[in-house]
Amino acid sequence: MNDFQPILTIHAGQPGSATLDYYLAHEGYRAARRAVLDMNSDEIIQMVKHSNLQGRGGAGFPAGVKWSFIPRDNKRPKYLICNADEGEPGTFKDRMLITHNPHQLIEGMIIVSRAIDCHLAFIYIRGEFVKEARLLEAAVEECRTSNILGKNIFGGKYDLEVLVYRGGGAYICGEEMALIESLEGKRGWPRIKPPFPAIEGYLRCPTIVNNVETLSNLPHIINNGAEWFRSIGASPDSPGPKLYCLSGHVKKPGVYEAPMGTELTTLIFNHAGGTPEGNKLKAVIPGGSSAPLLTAGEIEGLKMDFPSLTAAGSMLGSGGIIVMDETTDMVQACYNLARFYAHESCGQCTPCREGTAWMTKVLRRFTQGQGRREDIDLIMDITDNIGGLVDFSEGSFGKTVCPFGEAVSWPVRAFVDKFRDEFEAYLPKEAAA
Amino acid sequence: MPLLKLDDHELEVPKGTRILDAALKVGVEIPHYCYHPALSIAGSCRMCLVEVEGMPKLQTACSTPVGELPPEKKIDGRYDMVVHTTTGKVTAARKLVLEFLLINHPLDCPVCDQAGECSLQDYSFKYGQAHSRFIEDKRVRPREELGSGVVINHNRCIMCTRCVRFSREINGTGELFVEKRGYHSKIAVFNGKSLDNPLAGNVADICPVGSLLLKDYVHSTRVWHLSHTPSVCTECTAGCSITVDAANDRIYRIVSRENDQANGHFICDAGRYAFHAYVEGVLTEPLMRVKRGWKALSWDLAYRTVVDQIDRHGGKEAVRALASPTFPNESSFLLGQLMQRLSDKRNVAFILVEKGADQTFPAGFKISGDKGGNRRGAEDMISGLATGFKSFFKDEGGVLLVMDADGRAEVTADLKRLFKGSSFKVVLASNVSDVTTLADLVLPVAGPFEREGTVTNDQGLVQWLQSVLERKGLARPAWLVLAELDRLLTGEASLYTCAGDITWKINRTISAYSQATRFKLGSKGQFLTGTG
Repeated sequence: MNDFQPILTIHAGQPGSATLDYYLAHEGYRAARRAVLDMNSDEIIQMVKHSNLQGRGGAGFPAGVKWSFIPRDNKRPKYLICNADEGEPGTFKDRMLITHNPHQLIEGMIIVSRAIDCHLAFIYIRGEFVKEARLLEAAVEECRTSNILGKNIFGGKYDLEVLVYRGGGAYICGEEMALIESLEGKRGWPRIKPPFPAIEGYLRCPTIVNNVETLSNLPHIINNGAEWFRSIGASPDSPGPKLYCLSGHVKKPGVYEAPMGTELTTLIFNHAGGTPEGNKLKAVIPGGSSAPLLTAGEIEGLKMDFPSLTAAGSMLGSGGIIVMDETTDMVQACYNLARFYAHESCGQCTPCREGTAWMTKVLRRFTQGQGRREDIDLIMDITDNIGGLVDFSEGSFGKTVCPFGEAVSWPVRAFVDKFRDEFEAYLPKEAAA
Repeated sequence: MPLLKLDDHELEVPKGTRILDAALKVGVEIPHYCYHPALSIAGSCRMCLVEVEGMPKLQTACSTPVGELPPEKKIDGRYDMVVHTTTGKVTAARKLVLEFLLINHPLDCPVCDQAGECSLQDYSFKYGQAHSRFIEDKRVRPREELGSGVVINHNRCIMCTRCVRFSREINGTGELFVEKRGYHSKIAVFNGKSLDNPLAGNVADICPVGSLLLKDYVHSTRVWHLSHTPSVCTECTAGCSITVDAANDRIYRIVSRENDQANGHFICDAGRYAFHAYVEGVLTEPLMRVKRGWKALSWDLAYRTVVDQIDRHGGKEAVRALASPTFPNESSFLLGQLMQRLSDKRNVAFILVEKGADQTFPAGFKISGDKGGNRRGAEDMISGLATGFKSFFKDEGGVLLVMDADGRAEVTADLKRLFKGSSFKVVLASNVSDVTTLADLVLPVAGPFEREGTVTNDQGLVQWLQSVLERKGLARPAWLVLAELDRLLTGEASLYTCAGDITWKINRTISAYSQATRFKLGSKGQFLTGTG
């Protein structure tokens, strides 16, 4: 694996890598040109299906399969939305892709648009990413003046416009239905599924929402073929290059590109240089803050791809790896996480609106040394009541409109379940006795 | 059509029917808050979670449509969907949703106006738990006025957003929205605005808890002391179905009564608050104009005076009458019959009542500009007899018999001239009005909420107007006064002992009303033959 050459981030850090000239000089838009001029929709979808590219936003849904849900006979316009509302704590890969290579993303968008017959695509970018939004706007403008976007692109008969839309700064707008509502100018409240966006999305028209990283992979699949893509990584079922964001107690935090299925310990100790001062590793959140954390014992030999992490009782999610060493106070960490989710709950549905705040209040009481023994079970019970039991073999039983309920319940549950002794240690003396 | 199994019920429903709608149809209770049949689906309260076979998660009954399965995939070889509403999973989910809804609720039922008709109370009683595990500080916010007489108690709000959807979808003004986020979410009016529209009061009706309240009703009574009388609003020709809530001979409030043949689910504020107007200047005895003011008469004397005055001023031929579009059909019918018997002349016209432009709202709700609430019925009763208001001025003199329009009559120069040109003016009215001040003799009749009979709305829907209050003092039903006058003037014994007798007579006399019998009207009314 040491001979792996970065694919998505190979140009990162090169001077001018965000410009069109640089991108064109490095075979840029070759794949998009081919997709627009020489390929039809079915060919693109088949190729991507065959490549087994899984969505990089968190759920890992096969990208080609998602596109094939777009109804062919629907006369309404189809839309593509690039989800650049990167908000998951511990995740900062999309921002890097945009900063260093915005044209790779736009090229990916042209390819999907072509595949689903979309003529207006949006980039919904997180409100706080001001610089990145300007950069994208500049890149889109460059494309417009060079016949890469606009009418009859690449001299063919296909039109495509891309609009950059800045979000209002809410975590929930990274959820595709809330994102669509927000893009429509409404409050970012997730809609009930079904209907799924591929049937009724933006303006109730068929819509595909893809993550920045997913889209950035596409030019390489078109250029090098599905077989090539499947050969990257440990398993052809969950292949490709992956950006891992390492943060927390590591010596060299940052975004690292490695093949799917790279071992978590390799990423922590080789890529990110291990824990500071040689501290003992305590736990790792492997896929953004909604992924249940894994203890040091659980990550031995764990491969970082979608099926392996699901089997381990967590998820690859966005690939945001948060490392916690022995100095971490798990009760405080859990409270911090719960507080974030309570703050970001949209408040639409009852369990999440009331439950997240309740849980946070109980945890705060805990950190202040006012916990009661029964509170530990109470927290577990509240998480059940919001997000359902975490038993991956049976599926989840979330009771909320959107996956936010699970996103808050699973990690809090994992904290309490795996570090119950630390919670008990926080009990006041008489309660602990 | 797909075959749905809902607990023990089997029913065929059109594809796409939501589970909750199907349940309501067969009477299976699935508790719900945010669902309202007239509003879009929110699916947010999570109270209606049910178990659907083949789906791992519980599903919201309000939003989940019944689909159709190919024959080989049918469940148990027959069903397209199998839904359970009483399993352990479902009851546990209901319990937890109620726990969440109650953790910040003040539990102030003893002083809450919703108590007794509160879904939060009812569902907690039925599906909830007796204790709370919540020991933290509750979220507390002050009460606020939203406008149009609506106040909000945020602490009782469960964020079902029915009111927000109402203001957007039904009246289209969209003043209400959800402010802030998550735990801090609250219902608010947009900055610098207020809830200001003619349908505003409905938000209190549709609020499933004691959060949205009408200032008019707040802390005035307990709901279990009220009697709920189904009736009709006669404030305009739309004829909305209403429930009049009263106790101890006093009306406390009027709420909408669902009727898909008439108003749907809502009523306007004009109708909602109309009852206040009729408590002032109530006439309780026949009054005769004397030199300085008025003198009370007994009914015997009052009737005899009318007969005498008719004899003295040109006889029966010279009697003219103004009918009112606000009275029930029975009164108008008797007035028409009386006038027919007195002379062959078409000596009846309608008193003028305010007529403005109709107001139609985005979801189709209509407030009629015509404030003569039973105009269509009145015209049906007197059709063929009535003449134009203007032609009345050809013959001067004689006795003028007037039915007042409950304070809604337009006292125009023409009307004043008509009164001036008549020798003796008899007015049948329930309250003092601009018309009664022009009279020589005022006969007190039952007021708008003391009357009984049928009314016909502008769509041809006949509904039963139910009396709610006692008649005040010596006041008598208008139909009885007219029947008595008829007997005294024509010498024929009256056939009628109650308003229903006249309804029966109308059924037999006017063909369009042949199906609008008291029995067939029911609570939702009956369209005239040839309409609806």
